[in-house]
Amino acid sequence: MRNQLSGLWSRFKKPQPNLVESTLVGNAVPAVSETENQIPVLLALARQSDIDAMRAMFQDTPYVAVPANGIDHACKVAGHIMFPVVVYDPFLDPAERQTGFRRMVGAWRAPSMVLVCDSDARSDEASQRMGAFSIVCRPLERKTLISVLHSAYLHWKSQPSAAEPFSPSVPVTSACRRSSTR
Amino acid sequence: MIRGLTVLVTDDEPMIVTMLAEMLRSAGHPVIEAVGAQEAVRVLQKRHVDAIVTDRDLLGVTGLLAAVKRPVPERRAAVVFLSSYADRENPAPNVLQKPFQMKELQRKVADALAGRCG
Repeated sequence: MRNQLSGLWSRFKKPQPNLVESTLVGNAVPAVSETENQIPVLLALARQSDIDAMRAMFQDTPYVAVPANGIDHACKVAGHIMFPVVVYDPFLDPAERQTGFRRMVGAWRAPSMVLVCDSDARSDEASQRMGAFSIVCRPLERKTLISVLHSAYLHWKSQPSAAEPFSPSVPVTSACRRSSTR
Repeated sequence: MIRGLTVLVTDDEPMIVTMLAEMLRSAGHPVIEAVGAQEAVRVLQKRHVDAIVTDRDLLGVTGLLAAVKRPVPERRAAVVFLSSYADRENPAPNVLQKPFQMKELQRKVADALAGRCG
């Protein structure tokens, strides 16, 4: 897992003048040194516990959690604010499990989508087929989450134009811990 | 000290108001939230604010702008308009085209406040 993430990281590692800290330090959490360098992350998540956990994990990082309470809400927000990274739970709206992801991607201009799912093979595979940038599985781990967000943000930054249609240029990676029982 | 200056955020959509407010709070501004122009006018009648962030197409925006024009010009709030139709090539100083990045909003508000203070 560590090798997989560091490989992904090195793939996008390049000077990022607007990024607070372009190297992962210590426990792989980017440090914050300037308050103006804040990266908003839209949390389109079904569970309040996930939102609360991520808010806590974003402490002392450049990431600012902005929760949305539904796909309609998220898509409406997209008309106002650009989010480099959207964290999306396919179960945000069960009725839109198949269409929700595309709606979200279509609403924004080229966001990097990170999916949150339970760590079982079926939902993991289904999420990968959607074409997300990456996947994080419950139980959420701060180090993993922040590393994935960092890569997702750099991916977004590396895109030639925010107006380009979304097309993942890297293979989707999963940051899920594999259960030994599977 | 621009960071401590009060910003009034208004929009017809409560969730947009909340989101914009959170973004400006994270930049160090005390923020007052108002859903709709009428509520924003009520806030202006009671409190002094240093800047207003509003959608240019907000219903009742004309009344809001009238309320901004206080008798004492030096206490007049700077206004930042959010618009879907702004010209990115030749941007007006107080207009921010949607969709925008968080840092663009923060910068626009900081510029508006700096202009007002200057």
